[in-house]
Amino acid sequence: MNKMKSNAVKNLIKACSFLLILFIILNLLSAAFLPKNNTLDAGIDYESTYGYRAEEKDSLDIVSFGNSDLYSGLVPLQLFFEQGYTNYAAARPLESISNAYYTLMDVYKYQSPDLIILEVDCLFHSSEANDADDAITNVLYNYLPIFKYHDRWKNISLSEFTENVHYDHIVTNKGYIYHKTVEAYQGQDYMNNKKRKYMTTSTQIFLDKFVKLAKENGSEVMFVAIPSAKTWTNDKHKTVADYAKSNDIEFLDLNVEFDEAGMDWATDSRDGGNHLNYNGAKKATSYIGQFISQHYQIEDKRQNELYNQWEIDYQKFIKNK
Amino acid sequence: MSYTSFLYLFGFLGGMLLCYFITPKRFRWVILLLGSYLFYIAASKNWVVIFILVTTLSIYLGALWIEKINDIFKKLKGTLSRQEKKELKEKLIFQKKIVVVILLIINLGLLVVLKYYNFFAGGLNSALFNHLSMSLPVLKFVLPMGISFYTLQAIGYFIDVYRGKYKAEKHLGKIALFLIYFPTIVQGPITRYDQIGKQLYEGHAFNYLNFTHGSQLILWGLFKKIVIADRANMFVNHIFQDYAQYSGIVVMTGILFYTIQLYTEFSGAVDICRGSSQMFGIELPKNFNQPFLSKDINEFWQRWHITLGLWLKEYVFFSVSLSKPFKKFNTFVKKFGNDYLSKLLPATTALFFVWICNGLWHGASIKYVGYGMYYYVIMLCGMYFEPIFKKIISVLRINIESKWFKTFQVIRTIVLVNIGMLIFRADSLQSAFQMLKSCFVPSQLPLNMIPTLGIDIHDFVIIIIGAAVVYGIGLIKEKGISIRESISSMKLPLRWTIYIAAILVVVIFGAYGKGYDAVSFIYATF
Repeated sequence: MNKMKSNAVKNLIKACSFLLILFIILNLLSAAFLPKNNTLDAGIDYESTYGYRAEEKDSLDIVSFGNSDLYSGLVPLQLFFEQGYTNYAAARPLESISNAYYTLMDVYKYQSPDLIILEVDCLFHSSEANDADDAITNVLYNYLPIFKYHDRWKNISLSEFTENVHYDHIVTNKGYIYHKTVEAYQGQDYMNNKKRKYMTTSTQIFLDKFVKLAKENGSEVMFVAIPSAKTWTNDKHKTVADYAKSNDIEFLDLNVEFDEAGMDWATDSRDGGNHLNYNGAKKATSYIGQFISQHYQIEDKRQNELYNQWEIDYQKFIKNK
Repeated sequence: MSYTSFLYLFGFLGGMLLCYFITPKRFRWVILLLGSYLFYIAASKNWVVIFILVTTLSIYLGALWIEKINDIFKKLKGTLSRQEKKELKEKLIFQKKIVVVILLIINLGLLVVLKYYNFFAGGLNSALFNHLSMSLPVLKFVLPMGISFYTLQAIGYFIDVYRGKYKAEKHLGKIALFLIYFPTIVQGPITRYDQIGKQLYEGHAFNYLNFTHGSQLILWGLFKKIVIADRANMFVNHIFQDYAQYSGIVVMTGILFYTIQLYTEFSGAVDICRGSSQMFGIELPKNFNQPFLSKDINEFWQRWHITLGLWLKEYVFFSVSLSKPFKKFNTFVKKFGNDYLSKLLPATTALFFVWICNGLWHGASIKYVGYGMYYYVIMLCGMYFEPIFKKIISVLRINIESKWFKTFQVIRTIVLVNIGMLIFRADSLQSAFQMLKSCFVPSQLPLNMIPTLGIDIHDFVIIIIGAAVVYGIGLIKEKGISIRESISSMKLPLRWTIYIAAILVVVIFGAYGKGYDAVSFIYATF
C-alpha cells in the first residue's frame, strides 16, 4: 500500500515536472513566434484590431469592442470630428467576449481610456460548447501566443528569437472598415424574430470579467447595439438591457432607436440588413456621439493641438473614401 | 464538440478523468454515462438525443423479450415429449424472429428513413412516379450524430442475443452506455457488447501506464489529423471542386492526397478515441492495421475499417450464408453446376450483399453504391481469375515470395485503393470517371504552381513528410515493434525529449487557427 502511494506521488511529481518543462518551452517559443509589429506582414492576425498599440500612449478616450457590426457601423474619425473624442474600434470578425476580454487587457498596456464601448452582438454568437471552446482557445492564445501564431513557422527569421516587439504601425481609419455598397434590407420587423436570447455560461463569465476589468482600470462601460436586421431581436435586447440595468451600465440600442437616429434600411446596409454601409455608419456614429456627450464627461480634444493629426486623418479619410 | 477541439482535449477529457477517478469504483460507469450524454448533447442538437434513447430502450426491451422466450423453452423442455419439444422450439424461434424483425424495423427503419429516404424517394420518382405525374416529396431530416455507428452496434447486440452468443443485459444503464460511450459515438470503432460491455461497467483504477500510453495515442492521432489531414484537405478540395481545370500529375496528386487525408483523418480520429478510452482503462478494438501494406484488396479490407468489415462479415455475410433460401440455392448450384462454379457462386452471392451494404452504409447516393460495387468486382476478379493468375505466375516463373513481387503487390493495391478513394470523394460517378480519364492526359506540377492549388509549398512539403512518417511508422509496426513500448523503455531525458518534440510538432505544424478552416471528421457524417 505504501509502495503504491509512493509510486503515485512519484508519478504525480513526474507529470507536473513534465508539464512545467513543456510550459516553459512553449512560453519561450511564444516570445519568438509573437509578431514583432502590428502589421499583417509581421504576422499579426487582424491588423486593424491592434492599431491602438501604435497610438500615442494613453491618448485614447474611448476604445470600442465588437464584431463586424462594430467595424462596419462606427467611424472613429467621424466621432472625433463631431465630438472631439479620440477613439479606436478594436473589433474583429466573429468577435467573442472572451477574446474581447483579452484584447481589453492588452489595451490597458498601451492606453487608459475613459470609456469602453462594447457592441453587444458578440454576446450571442454561438452554442454553449462552441463558446466554451472559444473561451479555452482564447485563454491559450493569450498565455501561450505560439498557439495563435504557430503558422508563422513558414516565414519566421532567426533574429525574431531575440528581437523585441515594436508596435508602430498607425491604422489611419482607427479600426473602421469602409464599405460603400448599398443592398437594402427588404424583410419585415426583425425585432420580433426568434433567435437564441440567452448568453452562454462562458459568455456570462467573460462579460463579468470584462466589465470588472474595465471598472478596475477606471473606465466606464457602455453597451451599444449597432443595427442588424439579420441577427438582432427584441429578446436579445431584453437580455442585454437586464444585464446593463443590474450592472449600472448605459445601453444604447440603435435597433430600437432606429428611426430616431434617422436610419433607413433602404440605403444604410451593405448586405441586405446584416451590416451597415458607410451611409448607415455615419448616422450611427453621430447618434452614438450625441449619446456619449449627454451621458459621459469626456474632454473635447478638437482644439488641442496635440491631436491635430486626427483632424488631418479625418480629412484624408473623407477625401479617399 | 470535436475530438480535436481544445474544449475536448483540455476541458471535457480532463474533467471526465478527474470525475471518473475521484468517484467510488462502483459508480464510475455512471460518470461515463452522464459524460457521454453531455458530450452527445454538446456536439449536436439537444432534442436529437431522443433517437438514441429510442434505440437504447428498444434493444434493451427487445433483447429481454428474446431472453424470456429462451427461458420459456428451457423451463418447459424437460416436461415435453420430443415431438412437442420440436414444435415448441419452432414456435419460439418464430416468436424470436418476430422480435428481431420488430427491432430491425424500429432501428434500421429510423436509419433508413433519416439517412436514405430522399435517396430512395428520388430513385422511385425517376423510375416510377414521375411517369405517373406523381412524386414523393423531398424531406429535410436531421441526421442524429453517430446514428450509422450506434445502429450497427445495437443490431449486433440483439442479433447476438438472438443467436444465443450471450445473455440479454438486464441493466438499462449498461446498454445505454454501450451505445453512447463518448469515444465511440461519433465515428466508431464499431464495438460489440461482449467486447466492451464489461469493461465499461467495471470501475477501473488509475493506471499511470494507461494514462501515458493513452496520451501518446491521442498525440499521434492529433499529428495525423491536424498536421496532415486538415492540411491535405485544402489541396484536395481545390482539385476536386475544379477538376475540369486539371489533368495528369495534378489530378493524380489530388487523388493521392485524398487517400492520405482520409487515412490520416479517420485513423487519427480513432487513435484519439482509443487513446481517450485507454486513459480510463477501457481498451477499444483496433480499426486500422497498416492498410497500405496490404498485398491485395481482400487483405486491405481486413486492415482498413476493421470493425466495419467484421460487423458486415458477422451480421450480413453469415446471416445471408446461413439463411434457408441461400442454403437451398447452394444445394441447387452443387447439383446442377460444375465444381468451379459451385465453389465460387455462394461466396459471390453473399459478398454482393456485404458490398452493397458497405457502399450504402457510407452514404445515400449512387456513387457509394458504385464504391461498394467497385471493390466487389475487384474481389470477384481475384476469385474467378485466380487459376489464370496462377498459370501466368508459373509460366513467367515469378517467385511470389520475392521482395520485388511483394512490393509490386503492395503498389498494385495502393493504386486500386486510390481509384476507390476517387469514387468515394468525387461528386458523382461521372466526375470520378472524368477525373480518372484526365489522369492519363500528360501535365506537369511545377513547384511554382502549388501556391495556386489551395496550399503553399510549405504545406505541400509538410504533407509529404507527414505521410512518409506515417508510412515509416507503419513499416516499423508491421515488423512487430511497438513504438510506444520502445519509447517507454528509454531513459527519462530521451523519452521526455521525444514527447516534447512531438507536442511541438503538433502545436507548430498543425493546420488550425486563423487561415485554416476547422475540418469536420469525414466519417462523422456517415
